[in-house]
Amino acid sequence: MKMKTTTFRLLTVSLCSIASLALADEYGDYSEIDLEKVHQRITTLSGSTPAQWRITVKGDAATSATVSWSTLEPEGEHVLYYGRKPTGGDLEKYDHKQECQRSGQYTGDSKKKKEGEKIELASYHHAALSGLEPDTTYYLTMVSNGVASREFHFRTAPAEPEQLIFIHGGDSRSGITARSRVNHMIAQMIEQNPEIWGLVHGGDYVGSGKSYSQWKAWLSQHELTTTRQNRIVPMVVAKGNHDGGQLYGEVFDFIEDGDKQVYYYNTTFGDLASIITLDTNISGTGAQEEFLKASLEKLRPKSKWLFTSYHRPLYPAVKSMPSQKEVFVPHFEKHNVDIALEADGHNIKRTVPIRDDKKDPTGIVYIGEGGLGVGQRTPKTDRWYTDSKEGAFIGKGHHVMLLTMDRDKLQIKSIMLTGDVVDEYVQKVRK
Amino acid sequence: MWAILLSAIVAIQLLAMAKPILWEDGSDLYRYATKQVDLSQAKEDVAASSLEAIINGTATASELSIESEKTADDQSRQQLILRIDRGVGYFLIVVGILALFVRRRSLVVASLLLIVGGWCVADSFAALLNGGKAYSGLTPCSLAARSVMPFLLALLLLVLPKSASTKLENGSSVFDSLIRNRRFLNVFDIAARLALASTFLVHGYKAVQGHYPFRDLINLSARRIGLEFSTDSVLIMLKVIGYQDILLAVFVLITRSKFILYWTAIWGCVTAFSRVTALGFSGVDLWLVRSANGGLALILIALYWWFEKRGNELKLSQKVPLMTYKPL
Repeated sequence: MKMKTTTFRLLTVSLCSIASLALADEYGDYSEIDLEKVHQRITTLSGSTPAQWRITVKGDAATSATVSWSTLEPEGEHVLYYGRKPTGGDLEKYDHKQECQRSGQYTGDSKKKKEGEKIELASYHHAALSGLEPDTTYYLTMVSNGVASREFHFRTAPAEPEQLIFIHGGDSRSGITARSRVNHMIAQMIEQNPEIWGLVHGGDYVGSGKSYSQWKAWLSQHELTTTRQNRIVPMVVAKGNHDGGQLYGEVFDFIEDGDKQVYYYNTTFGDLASIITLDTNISGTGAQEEFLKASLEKLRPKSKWLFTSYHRPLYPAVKSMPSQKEVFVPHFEKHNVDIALEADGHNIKRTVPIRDDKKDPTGIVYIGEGGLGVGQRTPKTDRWYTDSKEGAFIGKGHHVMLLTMDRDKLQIKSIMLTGDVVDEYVQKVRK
Repeated sequence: MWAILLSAIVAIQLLAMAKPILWEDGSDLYRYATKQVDLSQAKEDVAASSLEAIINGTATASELSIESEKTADDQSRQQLILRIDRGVGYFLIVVGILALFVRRRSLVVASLLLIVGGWCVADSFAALLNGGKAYSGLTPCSLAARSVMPFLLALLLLVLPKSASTKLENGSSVFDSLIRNRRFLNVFDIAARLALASTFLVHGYKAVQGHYPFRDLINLSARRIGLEFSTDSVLIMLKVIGYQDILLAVFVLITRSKFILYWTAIWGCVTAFSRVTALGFSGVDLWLVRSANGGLALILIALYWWFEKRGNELKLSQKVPLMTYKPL
């Protein structure tokens, strides 16, 4: 009997040790990775070679996506070849071909370089795809002026997903080395867990949105989120307060027309989840409020999980509350938004559930606030909604948030660049 | 009267300015300084040029090193900056309280106020450098009224008599000595009007451009009384408001019309208070920190009124002008 108990104890201890080791190794430590190796993966921006690729989704994530890239030379045709089977780059074997609907030269810096020379401006190319098959891996090759990229692939979301996993983060506006590391970490996370659909970025990609050279660096570093198997991570993007100017629209295919700067839109994942992306750089009232009301009325009844994503935090851990809080929060609460994805504060935050400006189990949890590269700030410890005694979490350090949801529950993990999971939160679906 | 108003507004303003420093994300100078430490720690300049060389293909990743190093020195610098900023917050409170009570020449308090004024100007330039806000390039001009207040009070405390009492035996006030100090009055007057005009000009420009926080202030304030405006209506209102602000700025600069100053004072107070009508209690500090916007016009009205009244009582010539303009 004693022998059996000892064996059982030993077995239990061993299993626990293995489990804890597995958990510790679940996310690697990318804080000290060799950047030389990482940067060897960056494509040289020269001639017509497609580089700085990215995929953005605005709309139905199961059937649409925009594939974008840059070339140094603007000349020639810019065409995306894509299909459901890998062709090894044989363009004729692809099912589809899509000419870029929008191409042009990036708007340049007003400042000149020290030598007195202007920075050579590259060009953007956007191929908007629709009518894609849900839950399908698409293989693609970008071709500019006859020069082809290597073959990449990305995956559309299922039409009726049973599970959705995405990474959320924000503020990659400075800290070039940290940005490379976080991007590399994202790629590694997707390699380890191919079920991760994409990245929801809360804005502040660069320090000065009007600086082409800063966007150029960001775009090339974004290549590092591509896995070694050439899988491109789709993005849902929100505009930050540092992303002013025309380049944001040129990078992410938003058409800017005078006063009609519309950076708010919806992204849907069947009946499992929806993300309403808002713009905290414009008035919360007026057209944006009408859009928010209409989106909430439409999406809440048919989404198990409803997210809002925007830059400036409505319940900030460092800063003061923005004027949009008075506009957005009543609508969020009326329509029972589940999680609000925020950025801007440069820290790690998960509030208590909030309703009517107080803790309420039926309320909305606000998470963020950006650590994709930018230097971190110390969050305030004296705010009721970030009080750890009440179950909230605050911290600082470069990180991403991993959101995993099914039809019953949602899990949020805050994962540091070191691989440490500093916060884990589970929420059940609203009844 | 005008001197009491000046010290009261300086006190209110400094106390309101201390709030974000002590309880929120710190001053713009703090954010600027910590960002610089971050960037130097990350060797951002070297990293940026190295990365550009990799992207351009003029160097390979193996040839360049863009590793950053975290040193204890950098972290202690961050802590030091935070402590300095907190210190500034407490300093503003102390100087604000002192400003309320000093009614005679005080080199010490005047020096403290000059430091605070210099800090206000530097902070507004830090906001410009930090960017990230619409029209952040205009911040030093839009905050001119706020920044000039400590300088004006410092100037007053430098020229007041040393007497500890505000009432002299013959019934005259210590301030009466100022009425003949034309240089002081001229400097005070022109600095106040330049700052006021600058603030109104920039706010007017932003309003004409349909600056989004102003739209929210109108909409949210209107909702409190059950009104809803369309976006077009709000934009028209902002255009009218903006051009009015610009006109006020011009008139403040070129005339000494009391009517214009009353209008400026009322409008400055109304627009500052719109933070409360729009945002409720959380807008109180935003309102108080803008107390100079209307307050500076009120101080000028009180100054002109005092100048005329005491000038008559002291049998000064009615023709004695403040600068080159005759008070209307």
